[in-house]
Amino acid sequence: MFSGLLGKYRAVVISIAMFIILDAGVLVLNFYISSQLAEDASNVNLAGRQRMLSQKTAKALLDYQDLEVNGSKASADASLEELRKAVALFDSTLNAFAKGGDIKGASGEQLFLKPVSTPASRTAVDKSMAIWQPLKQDFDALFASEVGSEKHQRLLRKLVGEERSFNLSLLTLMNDLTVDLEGVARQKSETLRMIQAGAITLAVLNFLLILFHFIGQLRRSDAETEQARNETAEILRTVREGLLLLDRDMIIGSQYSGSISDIFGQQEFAGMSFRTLLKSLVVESDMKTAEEYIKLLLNGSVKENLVVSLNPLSDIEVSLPDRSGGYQVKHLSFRFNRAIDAGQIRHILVTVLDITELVALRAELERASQNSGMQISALKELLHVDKEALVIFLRESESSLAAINDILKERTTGAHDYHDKIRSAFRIMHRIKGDASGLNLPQIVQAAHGFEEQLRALEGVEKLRGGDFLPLTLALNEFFRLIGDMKDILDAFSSPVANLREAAKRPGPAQLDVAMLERLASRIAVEQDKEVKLVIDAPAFDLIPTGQRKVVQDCIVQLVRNSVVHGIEPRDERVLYGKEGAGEIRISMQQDNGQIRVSVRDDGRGISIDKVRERAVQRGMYSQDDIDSMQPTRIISLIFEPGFSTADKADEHSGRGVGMDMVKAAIQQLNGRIRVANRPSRYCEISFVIPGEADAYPVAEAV
Amino acid sequence: MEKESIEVFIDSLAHFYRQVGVGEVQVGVPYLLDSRTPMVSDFTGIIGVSGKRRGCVYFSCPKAMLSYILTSMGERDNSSEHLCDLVGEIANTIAGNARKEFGADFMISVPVVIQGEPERIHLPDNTRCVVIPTKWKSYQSIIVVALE
Amino acid sequence: MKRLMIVDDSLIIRRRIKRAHGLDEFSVVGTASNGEEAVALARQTAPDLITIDLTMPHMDGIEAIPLLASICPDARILVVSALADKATAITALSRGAHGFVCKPFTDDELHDALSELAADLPAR
Repeated sequence: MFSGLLGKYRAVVISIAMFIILDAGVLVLNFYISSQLAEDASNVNLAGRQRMLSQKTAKALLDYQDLEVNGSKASADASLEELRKAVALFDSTLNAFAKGGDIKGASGEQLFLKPVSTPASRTAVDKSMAIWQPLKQDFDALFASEVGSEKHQRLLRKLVGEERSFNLSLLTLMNDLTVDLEGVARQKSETLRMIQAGAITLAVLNFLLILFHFIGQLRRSDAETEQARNETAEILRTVREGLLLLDRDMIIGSQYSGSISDIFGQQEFAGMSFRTLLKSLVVESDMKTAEEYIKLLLNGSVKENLVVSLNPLSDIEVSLPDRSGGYQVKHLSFRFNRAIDAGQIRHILVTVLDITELVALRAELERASQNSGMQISALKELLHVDKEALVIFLRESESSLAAINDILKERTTGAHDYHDKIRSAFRIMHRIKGDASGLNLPQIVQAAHGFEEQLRALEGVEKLRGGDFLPLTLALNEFFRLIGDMKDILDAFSSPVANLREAAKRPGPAQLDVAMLERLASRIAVEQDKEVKLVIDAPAFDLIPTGQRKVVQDCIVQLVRNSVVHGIEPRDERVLYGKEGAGEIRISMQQDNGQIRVSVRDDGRGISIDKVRERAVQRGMYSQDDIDSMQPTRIISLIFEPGFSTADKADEHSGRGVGMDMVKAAIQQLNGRIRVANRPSRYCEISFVIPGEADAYPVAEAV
Repeated sequence: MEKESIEVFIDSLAHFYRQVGVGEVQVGVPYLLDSRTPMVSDFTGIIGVSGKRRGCVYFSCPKAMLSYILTSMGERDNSSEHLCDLVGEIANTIAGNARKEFGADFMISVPVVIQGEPERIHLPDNTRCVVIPTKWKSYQSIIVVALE
Repeated sequence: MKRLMIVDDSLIIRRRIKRAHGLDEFSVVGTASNGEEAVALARQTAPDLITIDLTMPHMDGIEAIPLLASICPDARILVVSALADKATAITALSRGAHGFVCKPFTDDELHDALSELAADLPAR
């Protein structure tokens, strides 16, 4: 940690160390300078004393000479003593200036004096020494001689003379020394002051450096913090999720993303309790649950993945104030995560997402995938279909499908029951297909065809079991839905036209739907590459009981289809036989003795007895022997038996061997009879006679 | 509804019978049922379904069949409490296995058991349900799958 | 062998848990059909693991869980219930349960949940 600190604050630490060193340096320098100045001052003082002593010696000498002659003995002795002291002090001081040595200071203290070093001082001292030393010898001799003796007198006179000649020189020299020493001291103190000033300047500079550096660094780190804060704020402002932190008391932290405000439509959240926020969103009990849930999250002993799966707020519907002052229903998804620091759960990170659009989109997708594009194509089909006929068709189809369902539902006792179911279902579905084809509803035709294919496949299964019917049941369900969807569309489109619903309530068509039959015939003819014209003479249709008209019309549809597919030849073939290029199908309806006779006659190739025989054997309906023993009329009746088909491949219009057996079953239900008039390569007329109003049995809607 | 999803329910029931250890179940021809007229036998266990699919699945069977199963499990107490318990558990098993197939999005409720009372069954509107008749021993029971 | 106690009012469920495959590492030390029985039984048998239903007569699971937790503080409690809603699960967990398995469950689900809790048991 310390090295780290040193690393980070290295410059600062060095600067401070420098400052301290410089300050200490200045302090030491101060001591040094002070001592130097003191020394220099004492040197200057001593030099000044020498100047004074040179004069004092001269004066004491002259005083003594005078007192020795004229004064008392006591005063003369005192004067001599004075002279002796002055000479000794001058001598020792001068010697110390010359060679260094201990001397007595101004106040009597012992001082060590260093020899003078500057050239001027040296010269002054050396010259003084040269003058002084002979004088000193004479003084010593004087002091050694007996007072009052001849020798004493003589030496005194000599010295007075010498003093007179040298005193001024000595004074001058000592003065020179003093002045020089003063100059040295002044120079030295000047230098020292400059050094001191420099050091102080450096210390101040260093201080400024530290100050500048510190402020700079503070500024920089402030800027970095500010930038980091700005970045965090930027992130929180732009992130799409609402983010906030909860502390252990469920209080919202100071930093949260801007989306939080957008989502909840209010501004200030920091320091607010999460409870308060939730209270406005969910009911009391849900809030308690959420609170309990957050406590579980804060409790470290429960595994997070377990808790996460229990999130009670993963999708909630709430009403929130919007910008316009109203309320808006939104779907919010809350996510909670533990924010773990050093093994402790410190906070709960709450992520809030507005999933309103997502929820709506999901619902939309679900709807769309359910309809799977059916509506548009169905709509196109429905646009050109006669509405009244369509309403009837849809109602009929629904009850037909219900009939198929009833067939599925019937209890079975053995495998043959299954096959009966298949056959019965086939008949009904085939009629739906015929009707749809007549109304030109390709989507339903296709669905019916698919259903027939499934029945066909089932019929081929050995050892049929109940479960094998499941795909069929589901296809039936789809069929119901298809019809239901068409009804919905029709309702949506026809609601302004109220009479359509009226029509739906009517039990059956008032007139034979000539337009539908013509459309059907020409469409099939085009597909078969044939030409057909329909001649319709049906004045008796309104004599048919209303409940039976639909069935009769269905039979006619089936017979017309049969004629186009099996009867009418292609144009070239017809021309070859000397017939008109376009085949004629004549539908007629007559009342006769209370009975109604309906016939469909075509001028096509007729029924080929041989082909019917061949087919019946091929299809395994009868053995060759049985067939051989049958009369031609019986042979022709085979075309009405289930499973017979003379077309070579199954397409939507024929070849199932169902259409004709449906006609037969329907006519029997109406208590009617079927007749066939056939002349090979000339015509075929299939007619049926049904009882009029009075004798008719009520007919089940479905079959 | 797809074939596979319904087969899951059939398989689950078959699995249950195997678990109880009393022979195979025969599946009859499935058919559709208008959601406005639910059909039931004596005892019915209903499981509500929510999540990606919505609606319910129920299993309904005669009382005698439940008694038979209980006896074969070694349980002597044939009180209606036990019968309800069993039919609920069968419904639970059927739906529970389906949950394994369909994943966590297929959320199922606790079974509700009714005796008779078809009016207590609420099937989703605008949809037909698939009825799967099943036969086990001589007993007829049904699974009804009513999912949107 | 970890000692397992089963608490469920449904006989079928009790059998189901007892016979679930892969639970050989647990020995069933007792079964109870309501909370009251469970509390008494826990005192006698001191189980390591408890599976408990929530909706039961007399004393339900929510009520029994804290009592069981105080009787056997080391035991791990697994809620095995058709949880009607998340709130019930949250309540059960905050009252001292350690995990949950939704009814209906598979043998694997049950086994995994029990094993996970058993792994947390203090070593004896």
